[in-house]
Amino acid sequence: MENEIKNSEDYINKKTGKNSGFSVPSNYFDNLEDAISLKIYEENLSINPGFTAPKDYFNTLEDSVLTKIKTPKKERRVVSFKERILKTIPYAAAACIVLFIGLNSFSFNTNEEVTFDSLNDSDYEYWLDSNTLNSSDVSNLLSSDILEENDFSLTNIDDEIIEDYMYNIDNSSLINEID
Amino acid sequence: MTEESILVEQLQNTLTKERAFRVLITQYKERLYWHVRKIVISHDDADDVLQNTFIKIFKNIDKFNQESKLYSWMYRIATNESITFINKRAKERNVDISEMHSQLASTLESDVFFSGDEIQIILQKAIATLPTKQQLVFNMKYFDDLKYDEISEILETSVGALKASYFHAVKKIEKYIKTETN
Repeated sequence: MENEIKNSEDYINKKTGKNSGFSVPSNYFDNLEDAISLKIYEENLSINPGFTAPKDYFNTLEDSVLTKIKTPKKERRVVSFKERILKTIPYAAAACIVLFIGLNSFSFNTNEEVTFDSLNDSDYEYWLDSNTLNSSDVSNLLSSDILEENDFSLTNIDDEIIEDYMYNIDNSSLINEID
Repeated sequence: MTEESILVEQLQNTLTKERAFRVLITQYKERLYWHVRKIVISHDDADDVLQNTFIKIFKNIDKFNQESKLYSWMYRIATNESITFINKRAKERNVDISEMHSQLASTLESDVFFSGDEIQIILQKAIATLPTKQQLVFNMKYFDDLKYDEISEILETSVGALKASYFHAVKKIEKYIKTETN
C-alpha cells in the first residue's frame, strides 16, 4: 500500500506540483490581527438594546394578527384618473352647448338694429309719458344737428316756378307764414 | 516549560490574554487560513471562517486542557468551522455535500484569487469528488505535509484509518487526472 501511495503521489506531484493555485489579496495577512480583535470586541459588546415589550404581548400576537386578517375590508373602488376624465366629458360637452346657445341669443345676436321706423306710436307715447323733455336735451340736439342756411337756398328754383307760386297762393296764408 | 505552554498560560490569564492572543494569531493565521481555504475554496468564505475560528479559540481557550497540542486543537476548530460552513451553504442551496463541493470547485475558473493553471483546476475538481474525510486527509498530507500522527490528533481518527483514506484519495485523484488529461 505504501508503494502504491508513493507512486500515485509522484504522479500527482509530477502533473500538478505542490502548489494548490490559491492566492490571497495583497497585504491580507498584514492586518488580520486587527480585524479579528475588532470582531471579538464587537461580539463582546452588549447585544441587548434595552427595549422591552408589554406583558403577554407575544402571547396574544397571533390572535391580534389573525383578527385583522379575517375582518372583511370595505372594498373601495379605485377610480382611475382616465376613468374620471371620461366621466366628466358628457357634462362638459352639455355645458358648452348651453353656453353657446345662451351667448348666441343674448350677446352675439346684434343684427337687429333699433331704428325710428321700427318703433310704433305706442312706443313714442310710452316714452313721452315716462320721460320729461327738458331744454338741455333740445339744445344738445340742435347743436349737434343744426340746420344749414343752404338748406333753404332758393337759388336752385326757377323764377317761373316762383311766379306761379305767388299767383296761386292765398294771400292770407302768405301773411300768416311771414308772421 | 515549552514555548507553547507559556503561550497557553498567558492566553488563560485575563491580564495577558489579549496580548497573547495577538501573538497566537500572528503565529497561526497563515497555516489556518490555507487549511480553511482548501476546504471552502473561496477567499471571502475562508476569511469569514478563519475569523470565526479565532473568535471561537478566544472564547474557549480557558477550556483548553493541554491534553493535545495547541495547534492540533486549533486545526480541529478550524476544520469543524469549515465543514459546518459547507454544510450550511449546501442546506441553503438545497444540494448535498458532494454537489456542493463540485459547485465550489467549478467557481475556480473565474476566481480572481486563484492563480493556478488548467491542471491545478483539474486537481481541485478531482479533490471535490472525494468524500469530506478523504479531502481533509489528502489536503493535510499532500499540501501541508502533516504527519499521520498530527492528522490523527486533529481529526481524532486512527493512523490506520487515515492511511486507508489517503490511499483511496490519491488513487481516485490519479485516475481522475489521467481521465481528464488523456
